[in-house]
Amino acid sequence: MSELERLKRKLAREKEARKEAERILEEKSLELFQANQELVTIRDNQEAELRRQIIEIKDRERVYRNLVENATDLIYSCDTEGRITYANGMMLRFSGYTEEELIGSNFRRFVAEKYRKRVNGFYKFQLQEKLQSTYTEFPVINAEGKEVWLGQTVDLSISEGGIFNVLARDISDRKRVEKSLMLSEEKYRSIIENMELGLLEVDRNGKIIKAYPKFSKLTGYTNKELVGKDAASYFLSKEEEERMKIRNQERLEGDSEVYEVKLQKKGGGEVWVLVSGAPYYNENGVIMGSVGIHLDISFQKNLEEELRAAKAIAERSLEAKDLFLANISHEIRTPLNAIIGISELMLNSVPTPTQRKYLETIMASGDNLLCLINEILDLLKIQSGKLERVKEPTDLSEVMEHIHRSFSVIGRKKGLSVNFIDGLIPNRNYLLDATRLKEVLFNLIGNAVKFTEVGSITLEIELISSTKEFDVYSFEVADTGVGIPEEDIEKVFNIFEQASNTNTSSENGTGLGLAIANGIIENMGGELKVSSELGVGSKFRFNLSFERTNLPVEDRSSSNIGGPKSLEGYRILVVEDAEVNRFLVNTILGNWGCVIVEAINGKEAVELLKTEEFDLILMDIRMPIMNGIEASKIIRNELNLTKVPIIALTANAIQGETEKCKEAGMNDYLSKPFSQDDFYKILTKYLLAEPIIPFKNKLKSGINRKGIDSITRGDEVFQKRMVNLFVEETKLNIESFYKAITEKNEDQLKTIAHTMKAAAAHICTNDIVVIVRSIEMDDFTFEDRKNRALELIPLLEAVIIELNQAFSN
Amino acid sequence: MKTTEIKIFIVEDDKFYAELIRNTLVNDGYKNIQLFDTGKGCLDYKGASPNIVILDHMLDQMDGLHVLREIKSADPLIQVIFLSAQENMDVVIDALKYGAIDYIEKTEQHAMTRLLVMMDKAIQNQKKMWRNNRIEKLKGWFLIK
Repeated sequence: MSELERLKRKLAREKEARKEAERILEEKSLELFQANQELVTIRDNQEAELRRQIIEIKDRERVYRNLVENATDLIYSCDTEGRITYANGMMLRFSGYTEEELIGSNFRRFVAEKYRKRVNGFYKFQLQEKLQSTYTEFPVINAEGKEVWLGQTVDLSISEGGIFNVLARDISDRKRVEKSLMLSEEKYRSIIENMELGLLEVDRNGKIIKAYPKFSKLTGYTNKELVGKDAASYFLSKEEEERMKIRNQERLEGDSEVYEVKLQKKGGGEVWVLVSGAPYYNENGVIMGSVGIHLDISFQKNLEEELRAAKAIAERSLEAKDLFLANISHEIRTPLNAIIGISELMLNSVPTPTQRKYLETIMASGDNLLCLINEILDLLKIQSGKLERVKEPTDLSEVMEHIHRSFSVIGRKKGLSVNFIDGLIPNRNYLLDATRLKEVLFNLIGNAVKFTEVGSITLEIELISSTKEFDVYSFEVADTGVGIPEEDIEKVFNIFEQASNTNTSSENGTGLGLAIANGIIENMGGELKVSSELGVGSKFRFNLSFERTNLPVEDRSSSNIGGPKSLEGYRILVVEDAEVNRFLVNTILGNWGCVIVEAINGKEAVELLKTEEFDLILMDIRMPIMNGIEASKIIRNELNLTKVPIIALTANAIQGETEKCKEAGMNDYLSKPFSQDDFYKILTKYLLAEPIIPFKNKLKSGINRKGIDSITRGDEVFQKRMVNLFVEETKLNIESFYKAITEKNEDQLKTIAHTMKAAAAHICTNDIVVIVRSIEMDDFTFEDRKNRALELIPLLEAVIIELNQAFSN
Repeated sequence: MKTTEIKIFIVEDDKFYAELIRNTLVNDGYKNIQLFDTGKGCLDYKGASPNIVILDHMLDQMDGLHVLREIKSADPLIQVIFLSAQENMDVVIDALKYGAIDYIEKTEQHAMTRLLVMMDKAIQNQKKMWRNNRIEKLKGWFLIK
C-alpha cells in the first residue's frame, strides 16, 4: 500500500468521521433545542400557577380579614409584653382609639384598675406555663369611660416567639343578671335569717342533710350533731312521729303544707313550731327530699293554751249559771205548786164569795209567776243557744186545731171575735217541734189579745211552697188592736220592752213573749216580721219550713178521758219529801178515792215495796237520802218490779232530766206544778189502760200481710220460708247499713237500699218501702241517705220482731 | 213439652227474690230450675241450654242487659224474662229491644202472678219459634235438593 493510498484512505476516513460528527452534533443540537423548549413551557406554567395561588391566598386572606375586622367580638394580638400588635375594628370602636394609637400600646391600660394586677398575673402564668388556651373574665374601661365586663379567650402561639391571640366578648348583660340573682338570693337569705326561721333539709328517707343555724338555735343541736340522723326520731315524741310519717309521705308525693308540731329540744324541753314543708327536686325533676321551714310558735301556743283554759273556765261558770237558774226555778216552782194546787182545792171546797175572789187572785198571781219563771228559763235557753228542739213526726193540722181551740177560748173571754183561716194543709206528717211551734203561736196570739180591746184576731196559715223534702208555711197573726208606733216597731222584740203608749196596767205580762217567739222562730230557721198601723192593728208573720216525714205520729194522747172515772181502791205510793206537796197530792188522790201510802224518800219507798204491792208509784226526783232515780233503778232492777208504773214528779227544768227518768225505768213524768186535769189524765192512762207500754213508741204494724199472702198464695210453708229469708237478709242488710254509714260509703247505702227494695215491697208496709226507695234517690247527699237509713233501721228491727211473732208457730 | 221438663235458669243475686221466684215456680209445677247469682255464672254453665231465663238487671260484674245480649246471640230461641227494680224505662225498653219477651217490675204487688202468666207466654213463644225454625230448615232442604 502506498503512502498516498494510506493518506487517501486516511483522509477518506477522516472525512467520514467528520461527517458522522456533524450528524451527531446536529442531532444533539436538536435534542437540546427541544429540551430547552420544554423547559420554557414548564416555567411558564409554574409562573401562572403561582400567580393564581397568590391571588387565591390574597382573596382568602381578605375574607378572613373581613371576618375578623367585622366580627362583633373583640379580636386582637399582643406580644409577650402585652403590647398590642393587631386589633380588629370592633376593638378599635370599643376602645375609642385609632389603629395608630392602639398598635404598640399595652392592653393593660384598658383593664379596670383594681383587676389590673390580677389579670397581669394571670397571663404571666399562661406564658410561664405555656398554656395553649385560657379563659378569664374581668372588667375593662370602654371608650365612654364605662366599666364593661369581658370574657376573654387567649391562645398562646409559642412558635412566633410568643404571641397572644385574643378573642374577647362583652359579657356585661350576663354579669348584671348574675349580680341581680346574687343580690336577690342574698335578699331572701337575709330575710330568712332575720325571720328566725329554722331551715332543715332532709332526704327522701327523713335523714337530715343540713340543719341551718337558726334551726340549731331552736333545738339546741349543732348541724354536725344532726347531719345523717333521722329527723323524726330525734325531734318527735312517739305520737307526733306517727302523724309525721303520714305527712312526709304526702310531701314526697309533691304536696307542700303547713302544720304545727312539737319538737323535743336537746337536753329536754319542748318547742312548738309551725312547719312549712316542701319537696325539693334535682335538675331532672326527681324529688330528692324536703325542706322544712320551722317557725317558733311556742309563745302563740302558750297563749292558745291560756285562752283555752280561760274559755273552759268561762264555760264552766256559764254552766254553773245555768245550773243555778235551774235550781232556783226548782226552788220557786215547788212552793208555787203548793200555792196553786191548794188554792184550787180551796176553790173546790165552797168558799164564800169574798174568799173565792181572794183565792182566784192568789191563783192568777201564782199562774203569772209560774209563767214568768218559765219564760225567763226559755229566754235564757234561747240566749245561750241551748234551746233544745225535739223534732218528732207531727201532724200539723192537729197542732193548728189545738191552737185554734185554745185561742178561741182566750179570745172569747175578752169578747173578741176570733178567725182561723186554715189554708190547705196537706195530710202529711212533718218533723217538727210542736211544743215550740205552739209556744210561738200562743205568745203571738196572747200578745194580740192583750193589746186588742175590740174587734178581732185572725190566725192564718198557708202552704206557700213545697220542695222534694220540705214544705214552707206562712203563719200570720193579725189583730185590730192599738197598733205599734213606727218608732217602736224595732223595739218590740227587745226584752222587757213594751210599746210605750199602751195602757197595759190592767194586763199582766212579762214583756218576754215577743222576744221568746222571735228567738224560737229564729232557732227554727224563720224570721218574725211585724207591720203595724197605729189605731188599726198589727200583723206578725213568719215563714217556717218543715221537713216531710213518712214516720207515723207517736200517739201521745192519753187513753179516753170521758167523765172522771172513779179511781177508787187503787193503791198509790206517794214518794215525796216536801210536806206541802205530799198534802196536795194526797188530798187530790183522796178525793178520787185512791188508797194512799206515803214515803218521804226513795229508801223508805224501796223498803215499803219489799212487803207491799201498789198499783202506781208517784216519785219525786229530788229527795234526801235516796233520790227518785236511784229508787226507781232499785225497784226495777233489784226488786224486779217491772210492771208497776212509776210516774216521776219533776219540777226540774234541767235538760236531760226526763231522759234520766226514762233510763231509770220510769214510765212517764208529770211536771210540777200540774193541774188536776193533767194529774187525772196521767193516772188514768196507767191505771185504766191495758196493756202498759212504757214510753216506747207505739208503732203501727210494719207488715204488709196482703203482700205476703199475694206472693205466697197463702201457702204456709212457702210463707214461713220467705219470712225467714227476709228476716235473715234484713239482719244482714241492717249490719251492712251500719257498716256503710261508719265507712261513709254512699254507693253502698244505695246498693243495699236497691237490693232491699224488691223484698221490702212484698213484706213491709208502704211507708217503710217509701223510706227504702228514698235512700236510693238521685239528688241525695250522703247525709240524706244516712239519715234515711237511720230512720229505717229501727222500723226494720220492729218488722223483724213482728214477723218473728206472727210466723213463729 | 211437659211443665216438668222445661228448663229454667234464674239469674238473681238477691237471695230473697231468687227464692221467691223459685218457690213460686215450684208451686206451679216447674221442676227443672237452676239458680245463678251472677250473669257470668249463667253464661259459663255448659249444661243443656235452658228454655227460659229469668234475668235480673242489677248484677255484679256484668249487668242484665249484657247477659241478655250474650244469651240471645248464642241461641235466639231461649226465652228471657227480664226483672227490674230499676223504675228506669230506658233499661226496660233496651231489654225488650234485645229480645226479652217481657219484663217484671220486682216491687209490683202482683209480680209473681205476672211471672206465671209470662212463663206460659214464653213457652208458647218458644214453641212457635221452633215451628218456624223447622219450616225454614225444611224450605232450605227442598230448595237445595
